[in-house]
Amino acid sequence: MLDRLPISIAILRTAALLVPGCRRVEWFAEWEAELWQVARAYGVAWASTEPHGHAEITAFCLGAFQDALALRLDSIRYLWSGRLRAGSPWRLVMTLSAFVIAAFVLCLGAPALRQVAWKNLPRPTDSLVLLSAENNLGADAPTIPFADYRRWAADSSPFLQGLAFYRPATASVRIEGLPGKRHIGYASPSMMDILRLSLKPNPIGGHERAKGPLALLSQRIWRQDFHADAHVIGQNFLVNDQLVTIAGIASGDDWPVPGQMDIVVIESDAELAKKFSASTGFVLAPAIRPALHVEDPDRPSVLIRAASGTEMRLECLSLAQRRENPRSLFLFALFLACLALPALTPLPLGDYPDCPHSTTAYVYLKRWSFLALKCALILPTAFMTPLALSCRLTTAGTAAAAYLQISLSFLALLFAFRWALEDQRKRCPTCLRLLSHPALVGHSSHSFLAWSGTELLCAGGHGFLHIPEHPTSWFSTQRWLPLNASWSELFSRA
Amino acid sequence: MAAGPKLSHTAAMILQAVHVGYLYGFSVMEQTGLPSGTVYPALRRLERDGLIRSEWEKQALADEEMRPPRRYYKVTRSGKAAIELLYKRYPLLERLVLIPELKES
Repeated sequence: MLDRLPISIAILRTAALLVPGCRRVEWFAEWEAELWQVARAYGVAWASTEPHGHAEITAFCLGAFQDALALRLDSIRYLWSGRLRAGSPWRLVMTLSAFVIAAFVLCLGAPALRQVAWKNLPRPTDSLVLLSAENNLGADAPTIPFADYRRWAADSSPFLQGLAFYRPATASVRIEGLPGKRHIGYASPSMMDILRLSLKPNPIGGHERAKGPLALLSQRIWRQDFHADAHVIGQNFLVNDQLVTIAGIASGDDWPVPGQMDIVVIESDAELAKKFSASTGFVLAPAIRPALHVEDPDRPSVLIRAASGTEMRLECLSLAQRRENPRSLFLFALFLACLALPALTPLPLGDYPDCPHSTTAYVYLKRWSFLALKCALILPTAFMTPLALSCRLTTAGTAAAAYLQISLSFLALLFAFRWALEDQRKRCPTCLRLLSHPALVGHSSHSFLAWSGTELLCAGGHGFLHIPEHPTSWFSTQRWLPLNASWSELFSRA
Repeated sequence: MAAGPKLSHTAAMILQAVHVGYLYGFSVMEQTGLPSGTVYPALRRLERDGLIRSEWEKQALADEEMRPPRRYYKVTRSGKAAIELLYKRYPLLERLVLIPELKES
């Protein structure tokens, strides 16, 4: 059967799609009744199934779109005003999401972090091996005497090919006439080969070759002391009253090797011998040869003859192993925080009997999903913020940065989880909004006769939360008292 | 002057029309000359603000006239108070909307 005034009714039905579902039937009935009035006013038979040809009737029906749109916008505004009111779960989720975004932005602002965390990809230097005297695995202190390095470097053994020596030290520098102290790494020429760094072979240009040692600047020093001068290559400055020529600028601030170095000074082995004949330093090898016999694959070591003629065992540490992985550090901090959490707050969330408003399984799932969502939003914030701070306050990739990251992540996770549990306890299990209207109930002196404590109310009328002042054997934890639907008339529907 | 709801001139006209006895949307449209896209959303806002209320005509009455039942609007007590304030704000408002009996005569 065809509708009466089919075109007009079709316009109204289309407009009705914009109206919120709960009001659609009533809205359409009103517009249909009004259309009857309009049709009568223009002398069009209500029962007509032919096009009426009255532009006024069509214009009237098109106005329904404005009405429907206004209703839809009104319902959206109402919905979000309810969701964003204080204490609502939506507001909390949006606040936590804002924290995640802020932490992400903080991370984006730390260039060193991008190299350590986001570009935590294999590096060309990961295959390098740091040689260290036995029982000094992973130590940041130099352990290999320079004399031993020279002996091994002169050896024709396959394992000892391409070794590099360096020694971090603090030295006086004079840059553009200004004196200062900087962390200098004195390195053998093979250091650049092993780190796959190429220096400008003739930094001063022309046919004249640079005399004396060459220097590789870190990004920080280049920006701080040389004001990011693009023409700095070939310039000279003094390191411990020795003239050095700048031959390159490192692409990042984080050296893949132990020790803090603002400037790497490349000197010949003969010059290094004059300075460090009685000192120790770090020795890098290109890789552990597959043919090399290792007793323990987890802690490879080699037996080697020292300059003194005695045999010494060297432990080999891959630079990839030495590089701290921020995610592993965070997982460790998470493990520690989970262990410490019960010391800070009780883990049980309280006694929640079945809820008469909805099915128990749904309420149970909603509550735990909300707690899981809170924790899921806490995790990225507690990962990224300490990471960004540690990279800003210390040098990225160093032990200090790792300790700072673990400490900050641990504290952030511990207190954030504590807050998440306490917040969960103060929420209505049905609508998840924060409970309000706290009231003191009973007297402590009457604990034999009745309970005493604080009573909180759900503004949606779903129930009361009773928190005992003194936990007893019969009222040890907070208890939820659900209200049935007959109480809902007393509460606002907001 | 007491603070009342801030109504536009259009909304004030529609409220006045309902007040004087134009009880459903199309009659308000006819009297005020406003299009349907203005009148009906304004009626919803006035109802949301508690200045008017609506009720459906009895089905039996509509059946007698062989038409769909109408939704009638009535001014509430707060709506009447608002109109008194609106008369001071828009002095010509009373004259803009004719009382139905006067219109017929």
